[in-house]
Amino acid sequence: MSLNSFFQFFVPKEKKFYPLYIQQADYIERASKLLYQMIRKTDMQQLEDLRKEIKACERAGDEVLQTFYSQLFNTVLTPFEREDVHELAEMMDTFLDRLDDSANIILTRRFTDVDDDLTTMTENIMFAAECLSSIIRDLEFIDNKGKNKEINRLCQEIKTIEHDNDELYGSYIHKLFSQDFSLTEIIKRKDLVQVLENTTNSAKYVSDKIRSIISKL
Amino acid sequence: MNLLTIAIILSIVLAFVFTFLNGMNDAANSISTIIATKVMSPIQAIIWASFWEFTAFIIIRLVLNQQFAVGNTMANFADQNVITPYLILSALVGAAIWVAICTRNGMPISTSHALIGGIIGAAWFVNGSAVLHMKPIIITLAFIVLSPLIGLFLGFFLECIFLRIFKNTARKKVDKIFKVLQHFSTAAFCVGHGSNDAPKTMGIIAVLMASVFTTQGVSPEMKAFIGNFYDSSQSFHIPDILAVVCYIIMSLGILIGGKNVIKTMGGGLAKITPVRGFSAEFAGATTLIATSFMGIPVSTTHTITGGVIGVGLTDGVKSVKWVTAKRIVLSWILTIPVPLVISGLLNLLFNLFMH
Repeated sequence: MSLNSFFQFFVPKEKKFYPLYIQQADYIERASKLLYQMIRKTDMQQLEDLRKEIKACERAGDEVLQTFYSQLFNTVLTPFEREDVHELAEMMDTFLDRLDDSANIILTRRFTDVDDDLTTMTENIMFAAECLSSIIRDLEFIDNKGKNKEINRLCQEIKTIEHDNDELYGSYIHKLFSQDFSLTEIIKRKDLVQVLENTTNSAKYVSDKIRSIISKL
Repeated sequence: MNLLTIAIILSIVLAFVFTFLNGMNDAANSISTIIATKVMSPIQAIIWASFWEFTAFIIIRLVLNQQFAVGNTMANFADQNVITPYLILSALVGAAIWVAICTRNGMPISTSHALIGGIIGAAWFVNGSAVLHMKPIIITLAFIVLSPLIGLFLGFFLECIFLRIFKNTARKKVDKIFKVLQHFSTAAFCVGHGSNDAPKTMGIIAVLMASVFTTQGVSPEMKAFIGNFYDSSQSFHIPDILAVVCYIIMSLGILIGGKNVIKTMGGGLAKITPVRGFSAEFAGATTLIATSFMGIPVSTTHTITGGVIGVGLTDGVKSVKWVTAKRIVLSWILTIPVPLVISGLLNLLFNLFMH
């Protein structure tokens, strides 16, 4: 038994925040899958339906965040540092907001076709959301060495995804300004690649936060 | 004025300076948490601490009618018939030199431990180990390690208990309760500090006063002067007038040291909640008051640090600033042996010159 396990044996645990994190992660995962469907569609009706579903996820995520605040207000006990509890929830909410922003861009810019690079970036975001969902499900067992290792591996995976999307963003911007696109197309596509890049960054910020929480335990 | 008279005056002055510096250095321990949680303003906290520091005297002597047990222990590390004004001067100078060196070089130190080392060394080097009273020495040495550990475990378990009791209570409500309770924990900590730290120098001065009547060569004027305060017909005791003076000096030290604490606090304090502040202070106060009544001199700084570490352990072992804990262990190694040797050698020198 390690020294930390000995002391933590006596410390009361507060588990009511974990189901809320899992709910947030579920909404993120669902929204990212819908976004991946959205980017491959051009039919306006289908796009509008998917956008509505993503918006519903975003609103549900906002309600979960609100529950976090009220739960935090009503307890002195938190699973890790109080500031980290709400910062993690806020960062996950930002990730969900970015997914919603991406959906909004796809819908309002009315693309007739989307480049493979942008589809790949969206697919990468979906993979990052899946990794995050697995991490959040293990969060309760963060003290366990095996789970801890797995969480770190998945955080590294998200970091790699973010690097890949960085590369794709750079090369796509280069392509955008070196090929013969109309000004309107440049603006539309620049908007989309930018929001996808921001969305990927927000996934990485969440994984960074989780790593910082682990390092304090 | 003969050399013995000078040694006696110097020793008393030095002991008072130690008392003053003790109050000054420990002002931060006494008031930092109550200021950090914004329960009191720095000025209010300093006055509050000084008041309760002095109240230790009223509680021990007037309410409980007890002796200053820690002072008696400090005077009882060696046979009292070998104690001379030179021995006390050597102990104080040895401790002062080492405290000055360590402070200048930024090394962690406990003035209490330095004084303990000084007395043991000064008695041992000149009179041999047979004059040392091993029981109080061993108990004191053991509690150097035990007191921070007791503070640590008490702080940790108190925090665990409060977390369980107030698990489903609104944080603001809990903060409100413990902000009120912190008035009491700070007061208790100051009483604990007053009951353990002030009697350390008190005991040294009292044994010096007793030695005036047993040491050959002390002038009759000095004997008469000390006789105004110390009744030599009684067995060893700490005169109340001496205790009052020591408490006033220590309270003054806190009042003056508190100013520096305010300056340090301008840069921002470590974040601490009222419940944590209360748990750490209560753990420190309990340890200090218990050891004081058992007559065991301990380091108040180490005890409260143990309490703070214990409270922090509820967040996990990694969340604790172990650098502080390492500094405590380092000060154990540094503080007793070196003053012991310096004071021992000084007393040897005094003996060589005087005979």
